[in-house]
Amino acid sequence: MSAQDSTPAAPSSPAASPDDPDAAASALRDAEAARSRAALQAQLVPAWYGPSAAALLTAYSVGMGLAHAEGTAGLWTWAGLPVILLGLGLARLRKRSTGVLVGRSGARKRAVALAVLAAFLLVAGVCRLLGLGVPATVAVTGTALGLGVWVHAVQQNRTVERKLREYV
Amino acid sequence: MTPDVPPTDGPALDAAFRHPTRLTVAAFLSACDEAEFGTVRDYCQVSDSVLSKAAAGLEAAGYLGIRKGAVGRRFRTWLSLTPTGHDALARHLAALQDIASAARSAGARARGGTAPPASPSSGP
Repeated sequence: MSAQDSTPAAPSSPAASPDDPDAAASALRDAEAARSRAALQAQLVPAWYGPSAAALLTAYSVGMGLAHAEGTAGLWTWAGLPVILLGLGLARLRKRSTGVLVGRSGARKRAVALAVLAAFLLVAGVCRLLGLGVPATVAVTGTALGLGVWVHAVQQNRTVERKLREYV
Repeated sequence: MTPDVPPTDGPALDAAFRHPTRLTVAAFLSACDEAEFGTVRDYCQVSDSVLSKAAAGLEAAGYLGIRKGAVGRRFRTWLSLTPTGHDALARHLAALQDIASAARSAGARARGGTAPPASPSSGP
């Protein structure tokens, strides 16, 4: 019996035939490795995504905070529309730049939205408890969310890359 | 050493997946909605022409969809497994599983028939 080898990225199995169970088992291992690899690669986040998202959220929230302080928050709110579009564009580019597209389920999207909302409320609540005014609360909350996205992206990449190394 | 494998009545192997690269491409695509040509090529560690040939074969069988798109200024080709391809791959993998399982069972039977008796008890 040959030793168990870790599945390489390249297909290693010969063409399976009905009378060759070793080739069949090898082909099955290769297929499973390919599926795992695709699923993992889809979770990778490009290096530029975290800083870009953080910069976008921070810039907007600090601007919003300053606008609140000057009493022109209404005008600044309209700037949110292009910021949202830019954010959606970033997210779309992020998905495409990994080279592997996987549709997220509705439950997963809801879970992410709830997590973001919970983080927003938590940071905003802490700011209010600390006695910060609305402008500072808005600025700090947006900055914290942006940094959170960045940290999450870095952590996710580390986890995925570690798992990918296990397949090589 | 390969034990004799009894014939099975399960799903048959699909000729379109007989080539290892085709099977790997299909398996990779089965885990995602779409994958970029270069990403699949890098994973399979094959040249552009080999992957093109494999993709064309799968496309001819109706198992693969090919879409040209652009990311920024760069044109890219996206590959996806069709619903027919998903079904065919599932059947092919089931057939492979049957072959491997049958071989394991045959091997276990062969070992059971020729295996030495259990070690005697060491007690008095």
